[in-house]
Amino acid sequence: MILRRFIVRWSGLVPTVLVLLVALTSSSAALGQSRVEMVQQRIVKIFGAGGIRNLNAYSSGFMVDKRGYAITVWNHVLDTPDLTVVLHDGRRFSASVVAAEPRLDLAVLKLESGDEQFPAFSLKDARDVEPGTRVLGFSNMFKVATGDERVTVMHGVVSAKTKLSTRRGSFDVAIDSELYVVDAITNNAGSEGGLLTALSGRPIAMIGRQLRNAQTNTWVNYAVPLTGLREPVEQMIAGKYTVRTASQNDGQEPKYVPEDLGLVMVPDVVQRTPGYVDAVIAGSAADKAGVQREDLVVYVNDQLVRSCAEFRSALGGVANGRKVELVVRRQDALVPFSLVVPRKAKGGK
Amino acid sequence: MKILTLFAICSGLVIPSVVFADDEVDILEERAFKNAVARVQGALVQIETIGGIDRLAQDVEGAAATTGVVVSADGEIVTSAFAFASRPSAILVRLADGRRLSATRVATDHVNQLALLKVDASDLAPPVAAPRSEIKVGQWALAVGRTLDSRRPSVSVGIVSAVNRVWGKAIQTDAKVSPVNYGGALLDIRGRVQGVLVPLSPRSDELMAGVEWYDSGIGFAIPMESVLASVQRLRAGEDLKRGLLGVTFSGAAIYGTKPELDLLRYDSPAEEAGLQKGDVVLSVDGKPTERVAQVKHALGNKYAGDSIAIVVDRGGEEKSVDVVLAAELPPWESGFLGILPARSSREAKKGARVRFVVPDSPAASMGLAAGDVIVSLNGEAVADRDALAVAVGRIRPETEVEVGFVSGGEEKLAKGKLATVPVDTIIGLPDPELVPGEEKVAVKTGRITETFETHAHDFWAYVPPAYNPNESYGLVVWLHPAGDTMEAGILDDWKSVCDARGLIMVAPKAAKAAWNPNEMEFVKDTIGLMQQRYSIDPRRVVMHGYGSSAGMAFATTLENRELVRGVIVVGGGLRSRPPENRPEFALQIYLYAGEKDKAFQRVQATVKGLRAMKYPVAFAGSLVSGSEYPPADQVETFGRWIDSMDRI
Repeated sequence: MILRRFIVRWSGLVPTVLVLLVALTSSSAALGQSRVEMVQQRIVKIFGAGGIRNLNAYSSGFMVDKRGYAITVWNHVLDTPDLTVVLHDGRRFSASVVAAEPRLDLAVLKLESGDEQFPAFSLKDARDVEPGTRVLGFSNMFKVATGDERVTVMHGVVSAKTKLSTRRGSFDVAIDSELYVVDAITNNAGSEGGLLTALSGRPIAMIGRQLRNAQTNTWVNYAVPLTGLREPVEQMIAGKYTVRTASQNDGQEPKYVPEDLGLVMVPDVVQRTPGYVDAVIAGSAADKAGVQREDLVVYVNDQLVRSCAEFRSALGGVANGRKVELVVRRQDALVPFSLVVPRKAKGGK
Repeated sequence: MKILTLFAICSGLVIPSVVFADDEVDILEERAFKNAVARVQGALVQIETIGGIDRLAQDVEGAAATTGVVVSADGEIVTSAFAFASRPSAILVRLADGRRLSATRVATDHVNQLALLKVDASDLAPPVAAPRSEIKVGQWALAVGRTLDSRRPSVSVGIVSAVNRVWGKAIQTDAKVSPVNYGGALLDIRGRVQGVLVPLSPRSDELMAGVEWYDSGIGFAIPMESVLASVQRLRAGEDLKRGLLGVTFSGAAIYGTKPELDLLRYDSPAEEAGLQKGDVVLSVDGKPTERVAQVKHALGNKYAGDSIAIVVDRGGEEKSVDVVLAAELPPWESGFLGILPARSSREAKKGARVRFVVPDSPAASMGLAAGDVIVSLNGEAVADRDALAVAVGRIRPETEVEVGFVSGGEEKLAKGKLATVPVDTIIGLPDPELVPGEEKVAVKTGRITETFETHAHDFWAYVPPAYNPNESYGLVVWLHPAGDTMEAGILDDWKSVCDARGLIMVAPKAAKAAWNPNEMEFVKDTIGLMQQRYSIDPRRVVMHGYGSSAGMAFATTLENRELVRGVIVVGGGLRSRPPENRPEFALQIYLYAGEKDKAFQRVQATVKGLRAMKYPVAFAGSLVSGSEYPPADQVETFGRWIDSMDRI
């Protein structure tokens, strides 16, 4: 099976097949070891700013271009002119940040290494994987590895592939695309920027920050798929990257309020007052659609709203004159409504 | 170009490209994992809740989302009771096919920490259960949940680590179990459900117990067989409570000692069945019980209302009784004699010397006076003040006792009825007679500032300059409110009180502005550190919180009963019902609030609730003040109250 895949990929290059077959005939365990070593040669330890309480001054990264480019997580460690990158063989290089994208938590570093060439991954080799896929995590967590020591390797499976950013109030993540959640405790101090690979050593994702679910107060181990980073990284290396700007809704006051639909909500007395309708204004959009007093608003445009406050902020994102889908709980049933929001003049209340 | 590259590779001039080859076994295993999840995915639902109490116990708060497992075609769903600890006002279920339904909670099983929900559906597909007999240690075990993402289950892979865990209730796994999959399923490699994932702890029955082990490699699942048996009973709509017998055993080592009954709770099933102190339990439901642990094991998965057959050995004679287990025991209330014992190690070797007699107390009417030495209670010799405290603490108020004491060299006997522990602070309690220490003691005194290295946290402390290691001191643990350590002000208010009443103050500092529940370990270890260094009376360790630190003070107290015996809270109340008072670690509480404080009503409600549970709660308020810290005379009262915490 291995051989078949291999030949398909390398058909037309018979002599190479022969060269590599030598390596493949060794035992499975030894093969696994050589894969791990292959990955290890491309992982770097990063030392920079920090060292103050709870902020580690070290992190991890990996080489993505043989000319001496590594990528890592964009964080405080990089915030220094004295950035040092230590290779697997113990060689130390000064490095600088070529470009960074806070919205992807991504930074590209360039080693000050002249024309020297290094083992590196090609992000073209990265693949998307499904939950249940076994993975290895490589990182210098807790800076256990020093000098030419190889970084720590852990194993686990991809638990989920999900947008953590959609759970508002739970996760403080900048990245709004799908992320992998891993069932190994991969995200520790210093492991940000480490690499998640398949058992074959194929690069899959960059290990993220230490992330706490603010709602359950539990830690989540996540990694950022490399398939989504490939393009920005290539652009950054080529010097052609433009930093993304904040999306339009950010920081703006909610545009619509429940009253615009004809809904008067119960007084918002505690932090999480559920979104109960206190009154429906006669003749309003809500009234015409059939929303009633004491209905509990639970979804707005398919998004769970757990409180009056969340309801208000969800309405803020509704565009002028568009439809809004409401789901309310009435007794023990969920009742959907489709309301057309009235047009609002610019600057109107 | 290709030829050139090849040439380059062969001559080792540039680094070769990498080939990623998979092992066949790896691929087969991965495929099996994915197939197992696919087989059960239709039976996993996402559950979201709205409303309810914001904050729960120490570490983890009630999640807004959780997972459930379909157990019948007509809309029955089992989940972990964990998600409902906050008593939400709405429960929403999203089925695997995307349908959204409103759910009602039918009932909760407090033994297995499961909840049964019902949605209006008739076409659901319950999963295939793995027979309990086929669940073996070492097998693959996959923990699946639908909490993170409603579209697709999350999975963690591990093995079955043990069966019959936590008093026979659960399967243990090293797959990662956390709020992400509580309420979800543990699968075998064939996709059959071994059990339902719940947080559990062998050390506690509280709903949140075991959550601290999330993702640690120690996870639990209630076997499907037990789940289905529980569902049968939950269907009726009645909550299933843990069955209580109402006894404690002699000796702390549950694996080393024979199960000899020590304390029988009054009006408990054990007492009503005629069991007695000193009885040794020989068997429960026919299973021999040679150790305390075996009795616990036999009772661990019993529900209230279940009947059990107990055989005991009473003085060489075998007695069999049937006991119907109870859901609740009447709240424990200790009797009160009305004395304060002398504390220092200079005391007489035999008996408990009286430091002070509380006016109008049973002791006062029995004619006891300061300086007398109590030598017996109900005819049994009293070794020291601790023995007297334990003995009196086990007798109900209104019970007549006979006290033997030595007064002016003369042995006397007096009878009287014990009272209830008073809630008021004792007016006119003189300062303890502390002998100042020598000029140079080996430990630091006065104001101390330090960093606790293992926790990377700071704390400050105040030790009376006249500290004497031969005396015994109370410990006040000050937890500052969010954003303000109040160090100078608190020190100023408490310094003279500490000097006069023999108190040491220690003030751990939160890492950020507000206390994080995870910092409880640091607070605990700070207490431990002070106990190591100084001579501290274990019966007078008090947490002190104010405003926003009230929750942390209560939580630390209630979860560390063996360590903390009292709590003083200013301007804050409890948000949830505390665990019941325990005769072996009786807890005393002092609440204070200004009437203009927003928190005043909650504080009043807390006082009422705690008193109903028979906790001795002192309460003081101020008509004129709001949320500000109380004035100096009130702090003196706090000091006097702490000084009287070891009253008997």
